[in-house]
Amino acid sequence: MKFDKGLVAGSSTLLVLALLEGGDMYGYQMIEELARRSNDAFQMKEGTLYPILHALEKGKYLTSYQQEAPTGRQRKYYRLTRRGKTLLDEKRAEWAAFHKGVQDVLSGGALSFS
Amino acid sequence: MDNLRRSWDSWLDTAVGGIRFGYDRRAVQAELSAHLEDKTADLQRIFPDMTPEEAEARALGEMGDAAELRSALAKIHRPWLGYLWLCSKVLIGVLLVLLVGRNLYTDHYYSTGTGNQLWDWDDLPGLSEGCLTGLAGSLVNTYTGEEIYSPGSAPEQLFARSYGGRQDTEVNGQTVSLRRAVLWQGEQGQELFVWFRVQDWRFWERASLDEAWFVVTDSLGNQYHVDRDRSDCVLSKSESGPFFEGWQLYLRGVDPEAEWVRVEYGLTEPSFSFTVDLERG
Repeated sequence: MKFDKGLVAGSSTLLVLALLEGGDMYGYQMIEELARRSNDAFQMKEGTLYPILHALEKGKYLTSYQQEAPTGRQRKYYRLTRRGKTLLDEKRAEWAAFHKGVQDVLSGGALSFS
Repeated sequence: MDNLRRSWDSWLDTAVGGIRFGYDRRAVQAELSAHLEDKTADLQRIFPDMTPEEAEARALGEMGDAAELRSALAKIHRPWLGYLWLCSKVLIGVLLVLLVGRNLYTDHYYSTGTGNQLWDWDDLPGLSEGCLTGLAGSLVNTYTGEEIYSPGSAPEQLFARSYGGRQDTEVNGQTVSLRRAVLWQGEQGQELFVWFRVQDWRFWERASLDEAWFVVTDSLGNQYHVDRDRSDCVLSKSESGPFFEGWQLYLRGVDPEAEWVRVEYGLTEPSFSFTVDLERG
């Protein structure tokens, strides 16, 4: 299933932070992991990941370091900072509230007249 | 293949072209290039029948629109931040060079430091002539000098002690510490060498000592006058580092019967003093 671009874009920060919660990763690895965990549901244009990463790094939510790949190429790994973890918690709570709100509307549960 | 490489390079050039700070631009280009190479290698692994050209073309296609990426990256990588970072690095480098240069200079500069004083009393807040004595007096600490005796091999060496900086005196944010003392039996009597250090983390401030402020006495009441024009009681700078200045006090003709020598420094009352025990080994 293909999702609306806006839906994916709106949750991209949450997704990136959640991916890095499990350990340090480089860009391509994140794309692969995102596809694997979502059963290929999220197929974003891969280049669009980098502005998200760089913005989060600039905001000190992530740090980065270089590490040599087995091929000898330098890879840039990203790591979640304490500040990033806090942001992730906030985004998770925000997502849960949003999800509940949407679910309630869809199921009609939020409307109760007595 | 060459055409593909050219379009790959062209895509990368476009994507990072909005980043005006060169260091950032090269770093992002390397990161995107690594991504493309990873993707190409992965595609060839998953689809063994795919030619390298096909894999590269598909990898490039999945990266998205280079112009959109350029705009997004340019917004994040503002040039002034990069230049600010570069300037701060240059500034730190210049400061380090100045610091090293200054210390190289002072390392080769040995003088008695006359005409100056270690603490500028006029700069102390709220300090008047009347309270000078009281303040200075409260800073006095006498070093007892825990002995770490090392007889040495020379028979002329009567003792050598290291005080290891364990007994320090804080004076106006600076730390004065007695470091070492050595007594020799010279041809013209006993000679005492005393080394002490003034430490201050404010590397831009250099301590200097006025030899006229020194009062050197021994247990028998003999006084030794520090004077650079004489050769028997001389103060000289012995070492210098980023955060300290060291001095050597030399006394010739120390009374063989004296049990200790006390060195005091101050205008009216000593602001620091230390006692060197002369118990011969």
